[in-house]
Amino acid sequence: MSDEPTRMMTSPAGPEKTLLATPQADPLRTQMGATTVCPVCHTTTPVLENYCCECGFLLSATVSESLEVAPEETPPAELVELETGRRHRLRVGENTVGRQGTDVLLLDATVSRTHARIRVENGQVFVEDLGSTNGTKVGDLRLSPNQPVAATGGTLLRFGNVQLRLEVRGGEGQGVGLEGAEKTVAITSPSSEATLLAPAAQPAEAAPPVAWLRKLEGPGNELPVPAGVSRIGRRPTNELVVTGDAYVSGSHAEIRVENGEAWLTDVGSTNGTFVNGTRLMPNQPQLLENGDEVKIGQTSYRFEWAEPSQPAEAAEDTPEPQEAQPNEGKGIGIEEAGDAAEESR
Amino acid sequence: MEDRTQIIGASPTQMGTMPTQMGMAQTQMGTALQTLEVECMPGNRYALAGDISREHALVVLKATGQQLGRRAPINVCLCIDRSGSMEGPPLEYVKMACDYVVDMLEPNDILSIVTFEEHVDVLMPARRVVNKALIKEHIHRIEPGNTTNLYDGLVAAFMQIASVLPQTQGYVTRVLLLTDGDPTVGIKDYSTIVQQVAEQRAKGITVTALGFGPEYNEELLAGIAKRSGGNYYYIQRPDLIPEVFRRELETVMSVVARNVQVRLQLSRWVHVRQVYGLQPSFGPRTIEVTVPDIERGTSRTVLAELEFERHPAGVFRVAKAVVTYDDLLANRPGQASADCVFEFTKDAALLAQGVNPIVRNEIEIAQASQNLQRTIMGMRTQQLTAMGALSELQRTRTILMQTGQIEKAQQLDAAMQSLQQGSGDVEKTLMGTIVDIEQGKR
Repeated sequence: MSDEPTRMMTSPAGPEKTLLATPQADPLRTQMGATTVCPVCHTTTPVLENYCCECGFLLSATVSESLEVAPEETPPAELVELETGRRHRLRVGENTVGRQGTDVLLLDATVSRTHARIRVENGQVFVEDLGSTNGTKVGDLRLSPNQPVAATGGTLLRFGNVQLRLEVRGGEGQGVGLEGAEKTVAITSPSSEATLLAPAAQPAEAAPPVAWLRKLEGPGNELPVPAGVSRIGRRPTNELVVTGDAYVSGSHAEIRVENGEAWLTDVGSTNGTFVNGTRLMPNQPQLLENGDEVKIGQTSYRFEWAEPSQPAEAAEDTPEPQEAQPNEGKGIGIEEAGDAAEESR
Repeated sequence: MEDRTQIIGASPTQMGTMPTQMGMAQTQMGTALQTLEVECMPGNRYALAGDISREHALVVLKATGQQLGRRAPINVCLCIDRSGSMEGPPLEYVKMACDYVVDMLEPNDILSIVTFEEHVDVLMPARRVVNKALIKEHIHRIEPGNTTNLYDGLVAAFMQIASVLPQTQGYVTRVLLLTDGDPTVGIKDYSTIVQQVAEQRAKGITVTALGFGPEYNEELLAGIAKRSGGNYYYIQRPDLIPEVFRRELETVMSVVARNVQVRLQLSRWVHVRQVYGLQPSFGPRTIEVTVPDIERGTSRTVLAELEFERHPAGVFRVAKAVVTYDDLLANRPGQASADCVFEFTKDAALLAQGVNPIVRNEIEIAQASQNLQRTIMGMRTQQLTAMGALSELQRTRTILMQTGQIEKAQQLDAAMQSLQQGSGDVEKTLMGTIVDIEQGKR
């Protein structure tokens, strides 16, 4: 909505308020429809905006020479709240989980103030309960306090009554040691539960496609769709990166493949996501049928399920031996996880 | 709509005060007088660049104090517990309170009355208040029953409000739920009841929870009020029931903005960790919260905790706050937005100079609410003695006084007095303070 009745600039308060000048429209950049490129993040922004629409940089300011721009990083692992879909980023090293002041903040009465600790190192994730009142579960295993347990991508974690799915990103070839991952077994778990704590984190990139967005026309590229949740957009942090189509938003849509169904969700893109010509409401998942026409930005695709034999073949691309496919949507698929455990032993 | 002409008709008499208002509005980007003014301020002028750092953003919504035209009409349902324990003075005062409500309503308003015990009765289906004498006659036929079927009573109240929703756009909707006990029959569990309330809230129906006497479940009633954006009252004595009804009705009648949504659009490297007291929905690069109805001349705050991830140096808008609401003064949708700007610097020493005292205050008020919850928990689990609780409350009271929350500090005074007298209603009083803080009432 461009015609907002009220628009107030609030500069940071303080006595020296004038130091931070309220941005003025630059007379040189007042043409309608003209754009400018943000010197910080290089996103194209309409000149009528005072701030970069992507990174918020005050466009009338000059860039200091010492400007260091960190790329928006993909976290090595994330926790996704099942109920709300909220994503919590995990960092390499220690991440505390709890209700107050923790790295992962879960505002639920059943979560203790400092409930648990998650350690991320070398592509592996360890979960440790810190003596919480209502306990921590990894898969079906209830943790004993202060005993770290390994968890893999797709595993359901439970802190008090809050359930989250662990998503582990690997690959990208930078020191994420997956070699050791297959040896990862639950430290305290009896063998029956070890099957649930499936070994080996699965890098999202290596997951073989279970479906395709085959390009029909437009500037974009073809997209192989893996199982689980994949984000679609122009930004390189998406699992499915669209290149060459300027009408695709940085974060455009999300496709979720689970239980043999594929659901496409527009996540609030500027130019919309269309299925068979109908624009999707933002954040309303749409079930895809084989052969549906999907339009993202200026590019049209046909949605196609992959041949059933394909996952096995595609697995050859994976550097890791014989990894089971994480069934992220279901959390932990017992059969798949069981297979995976057997294979790795 | 009738009301629109009335607003226009009334405005010439208000012209005396208009010029200053218009002048003020013009300095704010030349727009017309707004029902809601929105500000979004950073907790600090500066934030640390190149590191992981946490700061706050405060959105302040100020409703105009202008009395423009008539108030918005209301669609209200009285949902009354008539279980056996209400027999005698409580029920008599309830009838008096209902009479009050009937007297206060105008022909445009819509009233429904539901009573519940084991069974639910719709004493008066939702309709305009035409024959006041007849309505009162019905009210005086309320008889005490047996058990407390709160859930079904509440659902019946929702149905009454909803039955006229399409015809009552621009109305303020409110259920006044009065109960004196725990639910004893029907659906009794907290989460189902609160979930039902949350669903109705999404349709625009708000519940104000009125707890009467020593036996009701304050956790449940506070939960209902919080989830539905309504108010919470603890009524100690039956003779106070009419007064509380009157106060609540006046509050409802002074609402100028309803269905208020605050959306924070976040820039790159910015995450929201939490919004104090409210449950936001988290989307990619955006969070959204629903704020309770706003009364004339009052303000609401929304305090968010932000996290910056290795942010580059320079001046950046970290978030744009976009507020949408039903403007009940102008009878149309309203929208306003404001930017939250930080200057990112590598010089950590600057941070100490940049603290915004208003935001600082809000953080302390949020802290006070957390203190109160901890005190209540400590008392329940008996980890806290009466003496211990008293000193905790004293500490929290000091925070509230220092942050200018006099009314809330007085509520704590009342709670401390109860505690000293050994009466069991401390938690019932404190719950009200927590609900007020969490709903951003200032």
